[in-house]
Amino acid sequence: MDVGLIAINWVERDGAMPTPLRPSASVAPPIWVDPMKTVVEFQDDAGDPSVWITTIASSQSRECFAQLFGRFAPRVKSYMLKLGARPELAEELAQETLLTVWRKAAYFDPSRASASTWIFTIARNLRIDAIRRERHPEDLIDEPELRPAETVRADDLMSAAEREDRLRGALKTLPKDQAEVVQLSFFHDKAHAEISTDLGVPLGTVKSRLRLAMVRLRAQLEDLQ
Amino acid sequence: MSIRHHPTEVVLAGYASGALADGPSLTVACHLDRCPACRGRVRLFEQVGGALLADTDQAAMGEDALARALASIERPAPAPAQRASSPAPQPISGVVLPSALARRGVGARRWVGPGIWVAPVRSNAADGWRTYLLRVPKGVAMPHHGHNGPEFTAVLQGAFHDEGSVYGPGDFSESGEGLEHHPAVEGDEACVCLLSGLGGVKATGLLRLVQPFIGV
Ligand SMILES: [Zn+2]
Repeated sequence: MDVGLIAINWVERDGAMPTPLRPSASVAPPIWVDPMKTVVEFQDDAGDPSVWITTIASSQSRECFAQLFGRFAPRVKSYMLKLGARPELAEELAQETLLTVWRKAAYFDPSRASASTWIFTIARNLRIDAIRRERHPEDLIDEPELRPAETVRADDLMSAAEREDRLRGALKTLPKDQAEVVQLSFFHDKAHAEISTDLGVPLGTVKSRLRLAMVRLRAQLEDLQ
Repeated sequence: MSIRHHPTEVVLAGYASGALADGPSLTVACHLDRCPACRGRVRLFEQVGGALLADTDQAAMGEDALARALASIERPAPAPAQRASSPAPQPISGVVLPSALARRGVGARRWVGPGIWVAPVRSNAADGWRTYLLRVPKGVAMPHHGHNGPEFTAVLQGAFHDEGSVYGPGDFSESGEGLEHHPAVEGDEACVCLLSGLGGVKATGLLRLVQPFIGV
């Protein structure tokens, strides 16, 4: 029987889109914009991207959007390229990701996710849709699912941005073989069985390295509270 | 009954990174619907994805990229897309579907034996995965069969036992290529599962007789 109907739905992923927040009172640091040229001075790694997003939500700040674009569009493009997207598609997905950030900024909750985690989930979902569209151009895509926020747990007491800083540090301390498996899980458009052949190790080894890596990351996040 | 069987870290990582195929992702979503522990694991993987994105190198954008982006944010957002050709999801009496599944829509049930039905779930079949609901009444054992490829199962209601373990509501099971087994329904209730499999099953024994009707 035909159990394989064609798919069109957005694959929802937990935590991508919490409930909308009221416009936030937080204000972004002033950024110089030349009104004649619309050129924005980028100071990469300066400024807090979650403040940019909440300011976009509260006052549709084009300056904050430009800052965010400068910080994330080239990285989203790089992520897409690593996953095997053609350069034009990678550029388009980076554009779409930042456009979605602009449109959905009111759903961003900085206590729940860091800016880069939120942007990662948007980019990931757009990529899943793009792959589906390429295979089934006739399909229309649903709007992303807006999921209610989960109850705050003890480990959420640390702010999402702080948690991410620590996670970035912890990722750098992973043993090389574990770091490699973590990297490939995200920057490799392949199932783990294929990752294991690429690395020349059995699938069981990939599984245990990934499990060890996650145990270690979780432990480090908990230690640091 | 509490959940005892969870997806492996590898499966959860695939779900969080987007590498897992559509059908298996749906079975994971059914498990997550009931398992706060695994929702926490997926969140950690998503945070890892965010951290890797923040630290990844940068690919040069086109020269007019920012100008294009600033122009597109001035345009109104398009209205949400409507599904062109898919029928409205059908509620199935007596089965509570997790929201991930209810939104997808489940096709018409097809009765394949006394009290046994299968119903297709809308999913991306282009990648070869077949995803469907299977209901088996109490007291019934699946005939002995083998798997040609991996298969993921999420229990929605009831329970079954297989290879010495019992799987109840919310439990998740992953079987690999080459597995031969004959799971059987446990307890006094019919068992309803979401299955997603690649490569189909190899009928051995009795199943060869009914397989043409089940079509899995
Ligand atoms: Zn679980």
